[in-house]
Amino acid sequence: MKPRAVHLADLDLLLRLCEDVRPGAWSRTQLSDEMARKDARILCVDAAGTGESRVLGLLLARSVAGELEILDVAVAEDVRRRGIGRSLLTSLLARAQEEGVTRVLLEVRASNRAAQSLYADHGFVVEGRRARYYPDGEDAFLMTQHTPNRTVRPAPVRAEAEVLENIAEGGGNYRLSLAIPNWPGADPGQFLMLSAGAWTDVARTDPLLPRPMAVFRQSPLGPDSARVETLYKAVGRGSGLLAQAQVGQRIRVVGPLGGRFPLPQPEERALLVGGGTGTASLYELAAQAARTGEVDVVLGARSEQDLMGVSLFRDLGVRVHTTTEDGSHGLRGRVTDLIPQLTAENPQSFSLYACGPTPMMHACARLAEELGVPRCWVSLENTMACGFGVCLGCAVPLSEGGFSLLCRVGPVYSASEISWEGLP
Amino acid sequence: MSGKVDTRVRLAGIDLKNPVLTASGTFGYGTEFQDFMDLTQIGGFVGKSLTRAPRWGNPPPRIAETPSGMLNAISIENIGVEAFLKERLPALPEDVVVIASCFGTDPEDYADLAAELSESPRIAGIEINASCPHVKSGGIEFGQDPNLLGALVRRVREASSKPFLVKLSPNVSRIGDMAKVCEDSGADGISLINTVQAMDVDVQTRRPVLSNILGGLSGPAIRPIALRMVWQASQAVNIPICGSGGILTAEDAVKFMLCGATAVQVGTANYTNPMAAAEIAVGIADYAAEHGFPRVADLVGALDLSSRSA
Repeated sequence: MKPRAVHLADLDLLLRLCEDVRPGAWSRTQLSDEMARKDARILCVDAAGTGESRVLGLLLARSVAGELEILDVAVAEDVRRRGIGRSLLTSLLARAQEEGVTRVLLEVRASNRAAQSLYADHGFVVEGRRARYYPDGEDAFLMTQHTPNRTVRPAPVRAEAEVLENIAEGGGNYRLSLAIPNWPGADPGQFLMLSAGAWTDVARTDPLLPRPMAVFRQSPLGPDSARVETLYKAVGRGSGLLAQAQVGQRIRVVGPLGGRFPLPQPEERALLVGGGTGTASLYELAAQAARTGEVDVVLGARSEQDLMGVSLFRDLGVRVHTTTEDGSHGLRGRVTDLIPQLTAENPQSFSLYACGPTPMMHACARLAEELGVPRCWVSLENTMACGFGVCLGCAVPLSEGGFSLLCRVGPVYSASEISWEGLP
Repeated sequence: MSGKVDTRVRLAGIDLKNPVLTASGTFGYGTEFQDFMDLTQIGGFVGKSLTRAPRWGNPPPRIAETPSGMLNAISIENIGVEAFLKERLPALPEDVVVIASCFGTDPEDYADLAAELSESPRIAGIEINASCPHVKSGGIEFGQDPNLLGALVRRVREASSKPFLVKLSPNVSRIGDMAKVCEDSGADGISLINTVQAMDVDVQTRRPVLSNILGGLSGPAIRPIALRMVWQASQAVNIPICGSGGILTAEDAVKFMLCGATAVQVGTANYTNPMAAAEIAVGIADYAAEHGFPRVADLVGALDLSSRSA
């Protein structure tokens, strides 16, 4: 059952398969034109050992400008559920990787859960929904895979960023807006390293190390520049100095770094839980997840003045719930107090995403397990000097033993991957 | 202006286009920096110390910031020599000078690694890590005992067909003696300094800041110590010296060259600015041009002591 490339001599066999699976989907001319295209990537699987000339499965794709679009996958009715589709897809993706393809995309019927789960197994995520895409009026999900792993990350830049705003939001919390030249755009959950002293204005060696900060919001400023925001609390020497940064000052940044949050699966509901400045790494996730499904956001803090970004999340059109320990805003209590009731209806349909203090994330992880929420992603923090995999300072102990570098493999982990007891 | 300056230096038989290397353990396996710079802009790099088998390092916390410096206790976490030769080395551009660092628990370990690394045409030289301050056995034991160090260097000399440098520990009372032992035992050059053994404490928790308790201090905090030791070593030996310890800028690098270093290694600065080494290389050439040195090699040992006796 080894997929192979097709030849024009196969045309009759391929057409017969297409006619059997979805009559009228491909005419003889359309199919032969497609096969003649230079950018076509077509694979098929032959019936083996039967002596019969028959094609059991066919996959048609086009490779354009570093992207691969899957046009159609057809598997004969009588041989489904035998891994033919899977082997076609695996084979295509392996070739795509060799070709240096950065993104694979496809449309899939909203009702076709089997195909969606096959794609999800291969790292595809839903990135959009196309209403009435099919002739019969059914919606399509647009699914994409960033090859070769969960994602091809944007290449980080080192830049001298300009401070656009550095606003005290109460409770020692600040929102910093930077103009960053050549910013390639961050995926949800990525971070940047920010030199706390205004290094390029004054050569400062103390504090020496840059600080990791999650990318909160980002928007284009011009053709070669972006406005990138972070949230921080002025607690130590580094963040204390950063709080003094003036508009117009320059700060060295390196980023975007780390990996992204996986988006929810089709029909899955996203529950995002943020504590304190951990709220920052959830914003882009909320924005993307809201395009395809339901999103609930729980923001928690000690008191009202520590709550960050409530109105900005509301503007995304997601449901926002708040908890404060003193009851000054929303529910009096902790974020974990809200999770059971929000997921009560059908816990299996949720993906939980948490970012905040480690004890909060650990509590979320335990709760997800108790309630039967199948997926729980957490975005960890750790001390690091570089952010791009060389200082080896940010080791995260794993439940199966050994360590993982937070800056390269993380900061997003599935809660079960981590040895929580081993975290500093 | 710097275009007219000859930036080339020859370090222990290794030709470098400029005197800036990156220090072992701060530059990964080179590939990690390709997002930020063209690796051919620097003289070369010294890779993360390799052991025979891959090894994990210490549990976190592994690093901590200190005044103008940082503490680390990673413990030679590395992918092992085989993965380095098969996977990482081929991913580097042909014209990047690669110096492989190796680490062992006895002289035979080091000799085996040096022999294997010597066989790769992509490796220009070897650095013997005889100074890792926080591994329970090996490393610093050699760097602190002149007899052990001599035996180690002689054994590596027999096994290696490549030029090799010995990375020395600052955690000794007489650095000149250690440098001399290396020279007498057949080393082609020495690198110094590795990190300074140190510790810090969190008063809120009353715990050491590192899981390993002790760590190695690096960064500008140790630069004056490093400079002193490079100077002392240069007075003791004729083999070339590769100087390191808290170099953040071209001026810092020039100081090391004036004190006798043929080349320098940039370490902690790679973390805070991934383009630091390339920028320092340009800055050294600018300095040479501004001060009338036709070759950056002329800076080596050019410390002016004449007017002080007056």
